Amino acid sequence: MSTIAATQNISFPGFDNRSSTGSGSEEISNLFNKARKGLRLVRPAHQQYQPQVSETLEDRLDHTKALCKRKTAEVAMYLSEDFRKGFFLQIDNLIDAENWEEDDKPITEASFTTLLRMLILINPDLRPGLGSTSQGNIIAAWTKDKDQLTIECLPEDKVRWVLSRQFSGIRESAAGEILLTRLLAALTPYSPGNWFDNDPQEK
Amino acid sequence: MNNIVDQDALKKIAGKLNKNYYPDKKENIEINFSLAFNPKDGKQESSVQPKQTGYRLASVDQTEIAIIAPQVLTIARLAPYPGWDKFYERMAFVWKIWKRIVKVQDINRIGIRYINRIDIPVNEFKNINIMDYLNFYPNAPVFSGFPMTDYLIQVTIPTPNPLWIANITSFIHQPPVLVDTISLVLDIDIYNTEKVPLDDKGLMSRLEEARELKNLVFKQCITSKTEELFN
Amino acid sequence: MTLKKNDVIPNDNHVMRYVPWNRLRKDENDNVIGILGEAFALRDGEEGISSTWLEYFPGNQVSQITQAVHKNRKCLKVTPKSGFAIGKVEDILSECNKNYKSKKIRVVYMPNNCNKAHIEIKPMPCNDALLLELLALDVWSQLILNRDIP
Repeated sequence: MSTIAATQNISFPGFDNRSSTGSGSEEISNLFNKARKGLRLVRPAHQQYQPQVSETLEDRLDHTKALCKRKTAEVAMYLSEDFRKGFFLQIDNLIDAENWEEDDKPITEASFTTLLRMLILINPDLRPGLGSTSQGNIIAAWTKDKDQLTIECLPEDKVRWVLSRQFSGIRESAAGEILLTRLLAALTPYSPGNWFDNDPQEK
Repeated sequence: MNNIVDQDALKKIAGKLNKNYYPDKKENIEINFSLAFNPKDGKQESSVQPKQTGYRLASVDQTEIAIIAPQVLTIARLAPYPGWDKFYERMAFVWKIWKRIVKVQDINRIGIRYINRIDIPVNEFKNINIMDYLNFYPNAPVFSGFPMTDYLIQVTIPTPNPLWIANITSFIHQPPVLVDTISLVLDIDIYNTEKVPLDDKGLMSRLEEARELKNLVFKQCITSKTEELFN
Repeated sequence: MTLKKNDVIPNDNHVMRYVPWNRLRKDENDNVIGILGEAFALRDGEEGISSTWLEYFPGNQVSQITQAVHKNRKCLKVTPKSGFAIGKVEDILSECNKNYKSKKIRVVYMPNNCNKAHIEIKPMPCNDALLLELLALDVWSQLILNRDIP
C-alpha cells in the first residue's frame, strides 16, 4: 500500500529494530533512530546554519527580509519573473529599518507563508500593495478607484478580509475572518476580478 | 576537504565572494554535518564533525548561496533555476577564488545534490497514491485500512559509474507548500569519495559526470504523471 | 480656545493622526494611495486612538497642520515615508457611535509633557475590521505625507 493522506497530524512510521540482523544492523538501527528523532540526513546547504540572534532592529529586519525571499523561492516556479521582481522590491521597501515602527514585530514567517499560499491560490495579474500590523502580520491590499480589498494574513492559513465596493453608485462593505480555502468563495459575490485582473472585462 | 583552511583565508575568500556575487554575508555561522555510509562495506565514510565556524553568503534575492568553512565549500541555488550552464559558471568562479587563496591538498568528497519537490493536487478524498508519481516509494503493510500520513525513505546505491554513489531520499514536505496539495520531496545526492582530481579540468569534468548520473537517476525515479506536472 | 485635561474637543474641530509607512495604502509599485484601516487599530494595552488636535495651534489650517507635524516629529519617531491622516471630530464620533451605541466614544483633550496638543479618542471598540476600514476610507480621509512638510 502506498496511499498517503493529506493531514495536519504527522505520524512517523514505526521501525522495528529488533528484526534487523547482520553486521550492518546496528548502524542501520542508529540511522533510523536518528531519523525518527526528526533529523533530516544532511540538510541542504541553505539550511546548514543557525542564524545568530541579534539585538539590533536592522539585523532582525535583514533576517526577516532574507527569510521572506527564501520562502518565496519555494514557490518561485508559480510566479512570473516580473511578479517576483516587483514583489521583492515591495518587500525591500516594506521591511526597511529606516521606515519601520520600532514597536512593531517583524513580519512573521507564519503570516508570510499564508500570504504566499494566498497569492498562488488567487493567481492575480496585479500584485497587492503591502502593509503590516504591529503583531507582525502582513497585509495585502488591492485598490481600484473607490473599490478596496484588504486582506490581513494570519498564521495557519487564516485570513481577515475587509472590502468596500461600489455597485451602481451604492457602496457595499463587508468583512470576515476565514480559512484561505474559503476566501475565493467569500469574495465571489463582490466580483474579485475587479481587483485581481488586468482587464476584468475580458474574464 | 582534508586540509583545514584557517579563518584568515576564509575571511579573504568571503570578502572576494561578497564583493562579486554574494552581497549578503553572515559571519561566524555554525555548520553541522551528519554521517554518510559507503554502501559497499557499510562503514562510515565521514565521521560526525564538530561544528565548524564559517561564512554563509547569499545574493540579494537569496537564490544563490555559498557556504564556506574550514573543510567545506558548498554552492547552492534556489528556484527559479537559470539552468546548468549558469550554475556551472558560478561553481567554477567560486572554486577559482578558493584555489587562489588556499592550497588545496586533498578533496575527500565532491557531490551534486538536487532536491525536487513535486506538488500534487489532492483528490476529493484528500489522498494520493505515491506509486502514480514516484517509482521510489514505501510499501507498507495494510493493517488498518487507513492511508499512511507520513514517510521517510532513503537508499544508497552505487551508480553505473563505479566512482559515483547515489543517495536517494524521499519524504513528504510538511506542511504542503500550496493549498489542497501534497508535496513529495525527491532528494538526489550523487557523490564521489575516491580519486577526486585536484586539477580544475578534471574536477569540473567529474561534476559534469555527476550531473548526467543525476539526470539518469531522476528519470528512473519519476513516472510519466510527474513529468506532466513538471511540464 | 483653552481646554482642561479630559475636556471634550469641539465637534467642528480637527485631529491629526500619525500613520507609519506600513499602515499606508499603496499600489503594487509602492505609490501611496490612501490609508489602511490598521492605522487606527489599537496596540495591546491601549484604550484609545492617540492623535494631535489641530486647532490647538494658531493660524490657518495649512499652518496648523505644519505645526502639528513639527510637534509630532519632536515627540515621536516620524519616519521619512510616513504620513498624517486628518479627520473632523464630528465625523469620527458619528462613524464610531453609529455601530457602538452602548459605548459612547469621546474625543478628549489629553496633553502630555511633550505634546500639549495631544488628544485621545476613547473608548475605542475592539479592533473591528469594518469600522477601521470605514474610518480610513471616509473619516480620516485627508492624507498628508511627511515628506511634503518642510
